[in-house]
Amino acid sequence: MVEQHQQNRYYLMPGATTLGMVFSEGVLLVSEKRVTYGYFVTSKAGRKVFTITDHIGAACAGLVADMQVLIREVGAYANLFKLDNGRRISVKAAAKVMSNLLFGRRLFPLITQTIVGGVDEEGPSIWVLDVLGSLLPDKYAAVGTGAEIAVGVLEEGYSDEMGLEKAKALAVRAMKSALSRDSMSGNGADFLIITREGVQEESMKL
Amino acid sequence: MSIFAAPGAYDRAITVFSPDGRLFQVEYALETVNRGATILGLVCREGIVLGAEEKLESKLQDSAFTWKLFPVDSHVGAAVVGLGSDARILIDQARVTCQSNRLMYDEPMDVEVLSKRIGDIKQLYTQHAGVRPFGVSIIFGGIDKSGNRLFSTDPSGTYRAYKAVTVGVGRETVEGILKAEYREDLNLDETTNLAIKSLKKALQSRDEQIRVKISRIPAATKTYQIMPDDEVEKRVKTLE
Repeated sequence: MVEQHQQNRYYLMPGATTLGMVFSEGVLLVSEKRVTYGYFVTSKAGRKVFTITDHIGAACAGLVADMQVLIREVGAYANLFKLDNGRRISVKAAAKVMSNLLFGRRLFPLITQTIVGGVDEEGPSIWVLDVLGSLLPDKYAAVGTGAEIAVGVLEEGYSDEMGLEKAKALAVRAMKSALSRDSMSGNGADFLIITREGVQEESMKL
Repeated sequence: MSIFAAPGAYDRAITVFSPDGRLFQVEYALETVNRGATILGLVCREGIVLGAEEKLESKLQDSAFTWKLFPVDSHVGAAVVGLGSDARILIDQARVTCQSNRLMYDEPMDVEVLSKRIGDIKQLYTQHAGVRPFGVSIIFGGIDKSGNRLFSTDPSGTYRAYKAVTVGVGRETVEGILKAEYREDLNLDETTNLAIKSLKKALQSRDEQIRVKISRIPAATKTYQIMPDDEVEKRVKTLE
């Protein structure tokens, strides 16, 4: 009975390994590309990192439809904010908008865990949100089914003063650990590198 | 031509334009504002100063009571002129708007956006049937991410940014003094004195009892504070 229940849960819930960290000049958001329904790999080219504006991005785990809808809605609010205020929305404010949208659907939630990251006047920052919209500031974080494995590697290797190359190397190491032991994560990774200069996208086979 | 020239039937409903393209009810509301007791707002590097003439209706009135200067949020203040009770409705809206911005973005509201929102409400009352315009101008001053900001909104819903602004019956006297003596590099203390002096002169020129209220938002604390009456009084006496 318990196994039946778990099978149903996994059938509805694709896995993921998603991580984010602050490095000296910006933030790095990474997610692998596998989308699964139960034991079936639905897609090897899923995309779980998103740009919200030209200075804010997000990396998600959970239902792909829900993350896409959530990101589009936060993106619309960020654009409206810029038109209203004549300045770019701060990373914290964008994360707060997302938190409000998630909490507003408390009784019928969007099934996503999200790491929002970006660079604004205050410098680089990341914020971690759960399904109901709790909002936690962090320096590095991992979410999804592979999080337990990835976060151990981050914990051991992270330092505040890392430059981009060191941060990327650490992210790759954490990803490889998670992907080799979490069957619901794999098929390479997408990187989002956000600095004062803007957003840069990269992909890796791993 | 005076604005009272032959309005005829075109001032019965606010939504009706006169043939020469005017909305008389809105212009009358502006007249209410221009006859109200003077208010002013000044920006300096060290903060914002808001001031108001507050005439006592009776000797028995509690002189500590302030009805033209309001805290809107910790970082924003407002001075109002015109119909005081109309003003309170808009101040309530401004306060709610500021709190709602904090809920939505976890940030204090920009003064410009606040002025725009209140302007939007005022505009509704120049276009809907069965209502009258707000007989109020509000000066919003505050410290936000873009610096020390000062805005004035009138009954038509227009809002503009200022370095120094005054509205009300004494505006010509006050504006004369401000044009001659206002400088952006005055410190907060000097700016406060200039505000008090201008209002004092405006009251003197109308032979009215001198009663001035001052509130300030120093850039250092970003916190609205009303100046104690005895402190204002001291300055009123020393300033010629």
